[in-house]
Amino acid sequence: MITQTVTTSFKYDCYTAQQNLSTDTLKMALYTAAANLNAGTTAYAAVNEVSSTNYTAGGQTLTGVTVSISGTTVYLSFNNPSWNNVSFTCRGALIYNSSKSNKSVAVLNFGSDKTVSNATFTVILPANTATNALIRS
Amino acid sequence: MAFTGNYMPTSFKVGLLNGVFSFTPGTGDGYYIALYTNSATFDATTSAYTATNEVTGTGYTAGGNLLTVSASVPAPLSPFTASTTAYINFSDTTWTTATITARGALIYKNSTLTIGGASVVKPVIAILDFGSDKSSSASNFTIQFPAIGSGPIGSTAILRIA
Repeated sequence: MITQTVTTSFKYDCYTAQQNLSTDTLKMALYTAAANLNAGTTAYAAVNEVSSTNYTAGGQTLTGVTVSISGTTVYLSFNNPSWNNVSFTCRGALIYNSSKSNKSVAVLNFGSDKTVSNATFTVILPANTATNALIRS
Repeated sequence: MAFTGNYMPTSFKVGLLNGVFSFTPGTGDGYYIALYTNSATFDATTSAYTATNEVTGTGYTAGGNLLTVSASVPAPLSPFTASTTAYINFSDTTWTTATITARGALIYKNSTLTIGGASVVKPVIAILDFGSDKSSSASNFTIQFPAIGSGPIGSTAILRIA
């Protein structure tokens, strides 16, 4: 089961100075519906990760990661990641910090299985604004 | 010019994502609480400690008291925990034999940090509005932090990410 959430360990990391989202490398890995990802997920694991030609285990590095401010809201911006010419079915994703022992940041549930066959698979993230961004406070 | 409520400074939120604030007990990070009169004007844009409008009086030293991060910072969260809240709790702090009047407080870190690419001296992590002036006369002045809560654990702690 995949439960969309900011992971509890990431919240803990915020209070213990363990992740710097302005400089660390964040990655996104994709998973089948058989994955068990939730608030208790502390780090990336390959169990139930999708597999395909042109998909590398561990997923891909997120680009455009920026800590932004709008009014009193602080939020994290990302570019939409794409995998070209892949074939798989996935249900969700894990955003994690490959600079810090693959510590988890957030779990995404796509709501239903998403299937791609020899085509480009793009995860369209919420708009990078103070009211829509994936991670904000 | 007056207190207008409790705030978490925006700069503190950025600092959390920059990984510059550590509350792990015993790591040497010194967090202080300073008291202010109602002439102070603080809000979410307040980023650094200031001595302006800080209280003066017998038993109070500028800069305030060093806080103790209590041992209730959650461990890295076993999958069996019922709580998904990360929280920070401080021990109550007291100025003894103090003659002071305060309307609110700043909690700040007694160091210089780089937050959002800028250097911040004594960055503030919380602004507390006591709701009305609180006074002591040659007696103890104590800040009582809220209980951490149990439903779920951490739900009423002074600093928390739910």
